[in-house]
Amino acid sequence: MRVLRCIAAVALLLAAAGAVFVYSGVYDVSATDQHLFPTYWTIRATMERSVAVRARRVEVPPLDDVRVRRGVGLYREHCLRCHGAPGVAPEPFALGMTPVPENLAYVAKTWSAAEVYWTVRNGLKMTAMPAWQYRLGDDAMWDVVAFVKQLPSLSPEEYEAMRELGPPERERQPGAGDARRGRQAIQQYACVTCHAIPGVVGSQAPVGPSLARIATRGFIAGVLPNSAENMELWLIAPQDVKPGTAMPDLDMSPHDAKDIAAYLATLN
Amino acid sequence: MAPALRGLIVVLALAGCERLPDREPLTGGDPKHGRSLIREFGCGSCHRISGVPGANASVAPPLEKLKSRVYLAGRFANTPQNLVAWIHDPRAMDSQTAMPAVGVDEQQARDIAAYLYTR
Ligand code: HEC
Ligand code: HEC
Ligand code: HEC
Repeated sequence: MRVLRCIAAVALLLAAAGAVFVYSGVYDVSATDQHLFPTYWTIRATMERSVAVRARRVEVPPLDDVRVRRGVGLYREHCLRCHGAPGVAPEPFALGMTPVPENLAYVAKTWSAAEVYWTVRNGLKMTAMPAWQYRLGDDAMWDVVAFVKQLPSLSPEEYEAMRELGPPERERQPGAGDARRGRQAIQQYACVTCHAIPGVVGSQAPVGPSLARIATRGFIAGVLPNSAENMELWLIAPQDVKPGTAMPDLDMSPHDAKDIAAYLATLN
Repeated sequence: MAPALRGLIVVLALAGCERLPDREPLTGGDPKHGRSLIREFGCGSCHRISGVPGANASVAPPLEKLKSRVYLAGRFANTPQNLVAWIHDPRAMDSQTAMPAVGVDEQQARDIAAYLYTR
């Protein structure tokens, strides 16, 4: 009994200390205040272990020259600004990030292709590293990985020579709507910065209408009869459907639109 | 018992136990009058509007928390003037919209807007 009371007291004390820590505002969240070394180490090790464990399940396809060549353009389009490339510095805004994006020529030496792929696909929480699975198809992500794995062997000159190869087309995948994936995609397109959406956590700012019971709505945005196809149309190109609307074109792939529409159809 | 209790609550709500101000500062309209106009003009046949019995259709977006919204009809800044103008004649602002002009005059639109801003 006494032991229990003791544990409870300690737990209470810790909770109180935690509350004081949070509410007092002593912790400096500014990106210029560097982490203490133990903090840095803990975060970094947690991240690396998390990636390593999850990457075990990834199956790596052959990373041939074709992939590498397709990967250059994608890398230049999507990664260069934050991570730089041989002989090319990241853009100024990227240098102001905490954690700062690593030089991938070094990362590629120590990380397996599966780990790089997992990171590209899923992004890293609490860092500026985006998840790419809703922006690039699976093939395109492997193309980027193939290129990243080549980075350590590329001199700045060789990289210059490769960059002539233009960016390939965005991957588009057909498929039936998958509501579960749609819900994840909603998070990835940051819809909750403008909409309240049941089942999706976020700021739920009232920039656009609440999407509660959107499936029962007669019209989409007041102009388009509400059907599955029309919802996909709206998500892909709101500005074409209703020129001047405050809902922006989000550069959404038809595949994601189908999945998101499937999720919205469950909100009734 | 439970239904009776719920009924009582509804009755109390209807009886105006929910206190509305006489004047809503942003629009200068009368929210109480606005609420009865909303019933009269049948806005509830398309919109869900809290505090208006029977107004729970979902043809159009719910008119909840309208005051905190950034845009009206997805296109116009949410100002009292725009809200009044929209209720008065939506088609004049957006010829594409599925919301019809239902014959609300400007003063009535102001009162309705006043009520909506109290939601
Ligand atoms: C908006 C900036 C940004 C973009 C764009 C970006 N990244 Fe990152 N990336 C980061 C940040 C920040 C980290 C985290 C660094 C850390 O935790 O130390 C990171 C981490 C990574 C890591 C883990 C390596 C490590 O040691 O941290 C890999 C691999 C990676 N990025 C690959 C890519 C690839 C490939 C692309 C392009 C498809 C890309 N990134 C695009 C910012 C970015
Ligand atoms: C026939 C159905 C219909 C009726 C009746 C109707 N509306 Fe609407 N209303 C709509 C539709 C559809 C929209 C969405 C318009 C758009 O986005 O273009 C809308 C939009 C609105 C908006 C903007 C909402 C937002 O989310 O930005 C307001 C305010 C509004 N209506 C108020 C009213 C009021 C007040 C009445 C009654 C006087 C009324 N409506 C009657 C269909 C209707
Ligand atoms: C920058 C803010 C913004 C973002 C981001 C945004 N929306 Fe919207 N959305 C709006 C606005 C504003 C409207 C109202 C448009 C109109 O009526 O013209 C709207 C309308 C809608 C509608 C129609 C709602 C109705 O009541 O008819 C749907 C559905 C929708 N958005 C889904 C999404 C999804 C899904 C995403 C993420 C992929 C998203 N939106 C991202 C601002 C945004």
